[in-house]
Amino acid sequence: MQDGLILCRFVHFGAVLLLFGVGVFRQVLFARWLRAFEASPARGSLERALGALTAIALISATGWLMLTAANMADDWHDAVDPQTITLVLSQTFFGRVWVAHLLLNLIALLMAWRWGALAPRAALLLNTLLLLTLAPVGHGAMYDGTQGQLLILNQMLHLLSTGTWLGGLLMLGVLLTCATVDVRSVLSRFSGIGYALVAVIIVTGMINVRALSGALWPTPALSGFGLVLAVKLLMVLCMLLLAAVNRSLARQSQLRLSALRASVLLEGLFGAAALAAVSLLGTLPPMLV
Amino acid sequence: MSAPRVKLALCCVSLLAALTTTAVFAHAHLESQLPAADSEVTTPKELRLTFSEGVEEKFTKVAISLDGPGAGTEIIQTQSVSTDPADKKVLIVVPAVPLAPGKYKVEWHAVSVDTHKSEGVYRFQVTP
Repeated sequence: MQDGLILCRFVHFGAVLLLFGVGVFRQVLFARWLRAFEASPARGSLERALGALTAIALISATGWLMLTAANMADDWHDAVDPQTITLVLSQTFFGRVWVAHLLLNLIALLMAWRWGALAPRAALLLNTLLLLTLAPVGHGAMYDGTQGQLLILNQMLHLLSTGTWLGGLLMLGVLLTCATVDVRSVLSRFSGIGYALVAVIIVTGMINVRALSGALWPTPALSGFGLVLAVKLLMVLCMLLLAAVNRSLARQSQLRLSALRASVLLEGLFGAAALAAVSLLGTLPPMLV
Repeated sequence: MSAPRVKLALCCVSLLAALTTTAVFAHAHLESQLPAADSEVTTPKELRLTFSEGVEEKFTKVAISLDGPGAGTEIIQTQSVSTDPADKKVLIVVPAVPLAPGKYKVEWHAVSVDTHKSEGVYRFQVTP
């Protein structure tokens, strides 16, 4: 059950973060830079890919619900038992959040399927809400009162900036494969925004760790939660290093596209690895007794 | 982001970190219970289990059994298992019939509000 849950978390977080990040990149941060791209045929394939991603998000969210039901009731049969599923959805904190989350995902899928291309702003709003409703699920829920709400707010900021980074990375990859826009200026602007993003990610991440483990670093430092956290941090540091490489590549007089492509791809892979580590973290206790 | 701003941000973080000093555990742990573990009490009306975080009443199970001397164990039926409306961390277990004198074992399986599971066991004694 736990393995399945980790997989669902990984797929779902990945899909929702990318959906949000790509939307922000296209509608907010780089709308002016992407006019040529939005008019090119590459746009159609991107829209189809995003539609598929929304479907993947819905499937993994459903899997997450079923596995949580089975896990709570301690019986595999409860994953498909309508009574248990209803009980989870109506009577637990996770379930109440998930009702809203699933509904948003369903509407997002309908939009992507029918009117996504017509109302990109509405789609972005939906995907933002979809990402935000992931914040209360998991360790963030363990406090009540103001402290709990602040931790959830902190988690929202963490998710928004992570999504913007990962989605932006995906868009950079897309733009590098179909050279319809001025990649150099997009890249240098994105790495500028990247500084702010990374700062928010690190600060909110530190607050999370402090709140969950009661220390600057969980004890034991290098086993269980601490170890996975260390791996995650290492992945993020590798991403930062590659982001610096991207920046210097973009500044060279001769733009070396193949090197840039490889560097962006590698940075994306490190991002996926960091996400895999997070998916594991959510199932581990931050502190062992 | 400029260097002074980064410094300011880091200062804010350390301040925030210093403000929240309580250590917590993400999986619900039993912090206290009434009747207390290993205590001797007269027939209690209900059992109160206080956890380190909120628990889901629909998925948290508590089994009370009478550890009879030599006679094996007898499961005590419960009338209700529910969280305190004012505090989701407190689970109230009401036995269907008053607990007769004897040694009791309480086994709990908790599901916390962040969907994690934990379990434990303790004993207490009811004196005439």
